Amino acid sequence: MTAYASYEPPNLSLSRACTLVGVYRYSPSSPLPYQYLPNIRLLAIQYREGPDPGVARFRYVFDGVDPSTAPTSFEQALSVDCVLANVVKNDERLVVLRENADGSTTPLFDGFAQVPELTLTSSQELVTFVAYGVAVREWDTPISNALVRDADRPAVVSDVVTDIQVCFNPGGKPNASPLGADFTDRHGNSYPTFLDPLVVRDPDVRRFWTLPMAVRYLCFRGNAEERYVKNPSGELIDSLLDSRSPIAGVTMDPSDPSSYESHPILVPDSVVSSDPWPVALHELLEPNGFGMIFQLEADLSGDPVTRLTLFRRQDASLSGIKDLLLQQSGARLDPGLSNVAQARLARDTSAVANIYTVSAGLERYEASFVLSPGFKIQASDAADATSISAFDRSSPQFSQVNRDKYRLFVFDETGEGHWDFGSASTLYTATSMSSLFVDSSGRPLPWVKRRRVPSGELFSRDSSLKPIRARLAVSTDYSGPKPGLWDGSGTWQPVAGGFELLKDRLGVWVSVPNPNAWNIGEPTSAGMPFSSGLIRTVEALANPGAARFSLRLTCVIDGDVALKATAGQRPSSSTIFPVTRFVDGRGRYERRVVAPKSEFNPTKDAVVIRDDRAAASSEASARRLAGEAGEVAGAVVIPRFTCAYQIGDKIRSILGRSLSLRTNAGAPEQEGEVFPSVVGLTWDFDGKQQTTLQLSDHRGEH
Amino acid sequence: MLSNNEIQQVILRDTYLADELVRQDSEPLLALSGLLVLTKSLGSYPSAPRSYYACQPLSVLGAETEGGTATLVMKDCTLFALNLGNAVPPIGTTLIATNVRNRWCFRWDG
Repeated sequence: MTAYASYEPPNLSLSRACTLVGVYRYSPSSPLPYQYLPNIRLLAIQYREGPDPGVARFRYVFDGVDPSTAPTSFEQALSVDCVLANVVKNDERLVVLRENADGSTTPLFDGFAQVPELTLTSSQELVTFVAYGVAVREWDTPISNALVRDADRPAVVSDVVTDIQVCFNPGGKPNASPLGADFTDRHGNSYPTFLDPLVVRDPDVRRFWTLPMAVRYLCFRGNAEERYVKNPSGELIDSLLDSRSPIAGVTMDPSDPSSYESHPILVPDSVVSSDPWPVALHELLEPNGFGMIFQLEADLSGDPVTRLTLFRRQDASLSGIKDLLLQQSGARLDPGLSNVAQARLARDTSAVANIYTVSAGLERYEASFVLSPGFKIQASDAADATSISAFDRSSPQFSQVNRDKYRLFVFDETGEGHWDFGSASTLYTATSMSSLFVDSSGRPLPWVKRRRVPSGELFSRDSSLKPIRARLAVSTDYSGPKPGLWDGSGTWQPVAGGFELLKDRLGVWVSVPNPNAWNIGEPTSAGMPFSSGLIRTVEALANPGAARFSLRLTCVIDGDVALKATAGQRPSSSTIFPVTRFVDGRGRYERRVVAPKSEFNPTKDAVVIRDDRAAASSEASARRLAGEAGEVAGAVVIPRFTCAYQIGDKIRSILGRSLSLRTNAGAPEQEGEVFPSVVGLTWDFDGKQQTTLQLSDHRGEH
Repeated sequence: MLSNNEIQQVILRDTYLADELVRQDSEPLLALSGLLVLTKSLGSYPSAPRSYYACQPLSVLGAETEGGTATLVMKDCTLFALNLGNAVPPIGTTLIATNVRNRWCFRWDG
C-alpha cells in the first residue's frame, strides 16, 4: 500500500533575527584558542576574486563596561604600549565567528589586524582598524631561488636551490625537467623543476612549461609549508588547467572529458622572480580564462582554514550555478521568493572582442643563396703588386675608398647593384626570391623586395644537436644563377673563416686584412677548388681569364608573412560588429622551414622544422571564448547576511522575473551556457546587515 | 615598471644583439706565415731556378723530445711557391716556404 507524505513549509516571516557574529582573538596553539573580544564590533567583510586575501573592518566600542580590560578612549586604543587585554595589537590574529542556530559556529573571517585609524570629530571619537585575511602572509616572501636540475642527468632528481631567476620558457626555449622526473618535497607534493635550456640532447628531454606545471611549481614551492593557505591538489591542477574545445555534435560537459578536446596551454616567456607567488599565479591564470580565490572554510573541528581554489570562468558545470529571486511587481512580498533589495546591472558589450588573431613572428626560412660581388671589378685592379696592395688594409697603398672592394658579396635582394661578369657591368636588378616564399602546398606567399638580414644560426643542427652557424662555401664550377637561390649544382668548398655576415642585408664581408691572401682553411676532401686553402680574391676576380669563384651563403632569413591563427566571429558574439584583437605570440609560436635545394636539404621539397599553427589556433579559440560574450556586470544587494552565494558562483537568472543572465546566447549548443560569476562579496554589519554581490567586475560597488 | 610593450621591445633587442654576436666572425683564420712543403711535378717540372714550383704541404708530428723521430705526412693539396735561389731543387725536396703578402716563396741554392 503506497503511502504519501507532503511538507508545506510556512511562509518566511518578513522580519527575522539578525545573524549573530562575534570577534575573537585566535591563537591556534593555545589550549583555549578563542578569546572573545566584546568591545570589538565587526563593520564589514569583503572578499574578492583574484590575488586578494580578503579584508575586514572593525571598530572599538567605548562603552566603559570593563575599563580594566577594554579601552574607553582613543588614546588607549591607539597606544602601542597599552596593556589592556582587549586592545587589539598590530598583527594579532582575529577570527569572526557566526553563531549558528544549533549552537555551532562558522568562521566568516580569519586574518591579521592592521592599520588602526582614528576619526575624531566634535560629536564622536571613532577608532577603527582593518584586518587582512591570513592569505596576506603569502605576500611576505616573493619568489626567488629557482630550483634547478643538474643537467648531466636530467632524469635523476638532483636539484639545487640557486639564485637564478625563476623564468618559464625563456626566449621560447623549453626549460622544465623531463616527464616522470618531478621533484617531490617532504610533504609529498611533486612539481617540475628548471633545466638548463641550452643543453639539448637526443632525444630532447626538456619540456615546455605548461600552465598546470607552472601552477604546481608556484603553489608547492611558494607555499610549501601551507601554514596559512592550503594548496589545491596536484591532480585538480592538472585536470582543470587546459584549453578545451567542443567536439562537433557533442554537448560539452566539463565533468566528462570525452565530451571535449583538451589541449595544453603553454606558459609564455615570463620572469616571476620578485613577485609574491599569488600575484604570479594570477598573472598566469587570468589571461587563459581561469580565476583564483582564497576561500575560508571550517575544518572538521570548526576551526578556520583558508584554501586556494582555482576555477574556470567559462565552466558551465551545474555546481555553483545559482539564481537570484525577485517576485513580480505588486505581488505580496515573500522573503522566500525575493532576496534582491537593490541591483545595478549592465549587459556590457563595450569590451567585447569576437575575433582573436594570435600572431607569432614572421615565418623564417633556411636556404642557400649564391652571392655576387657588390663592387665594380676592373682588370687594372690586379695589374701589378702596387694595384693589388691598394686593397690590403695592412699596406700603405690602402685607401678607404677600397674598403668594400673584393670584400663585399651580396644577394642584392633590392636591386642596389651587383657585378655581372657576363656583361662586365653593374646591374641594378633585384634578385628574385619567389621560389623560396611558398606555402606548404607550393602556392606563392606574398613577399616584398626588401633587405633581408641574415641570422647567425641555422635551424639545422650538428651531430651534437647544436645549431650550426651560418655557412659560406666557394666554388669555381658553379654555373647556376648568380646572384640567386642555389640550384643544387657545383663543387663547393667550405669557407672556415675570414668573413662576417652583413648586418643590414643578405651577404658577407671578407674581414681578413688582405683579401688577396684569404685563408679559408684547408679542404676536407679531395677535388676542392682551393686545395691550398688560400683564395687570391683580387687576382681571381680581376684577372681576365682567371677561374672566377662564386660564394654560397647558407643562412636563415625572415619571410614577410607571419604565422597567424585566427578565431573568427560567431553568432554567439554579443555584438554584430567584428571586433578584432591581436595576441602577441612571438617567442611561443613559430614556423621554421628549411627550403628545398639548400645545403642541409638537398631534396626538392621544403622541410618544415616547426609549425605551431595548431597551438596558436587553440589559444585564439580560448581567448575568443573568453572575450566574445560580453559581461553582465554590476552589483546586487541582498537585505540580510547570507552565505548562500560564494565567490565563483554563477548567477543564472532572476527567478520571478524570468530574466536569464546568460552571456553567450547564440553560442553553439556544444559549448553550454555561460553566466556571470560572483567576483566580489561584501557582508555589511554596520547598522543593518546586508550582502552585496559584485558580478563579473567591480563596477557598481559602493 | 616596464609596460608590456616596453618589455617586448627589450626582449627583441636582446634577441637581435645575441644574433649580432653570432653573425660576427669569431673564428678568424690567420694567414699562415710558413709551411713545410715537398716539391713535386705536375708534368712539366721547371728547369730554371727562378720559377714557380708545385709543392705539397707537409704536416709535422712526432714526440717533441731530444733525439725523437719526426713524422712527416703529406697533405692532399697543391700550392705554388717561387724559388728565390740559384739552383733547381730536385723533385721531392723538403723545403720551408714563407708567405710573402701575395705569394709563397722559398730559397734553394743547392
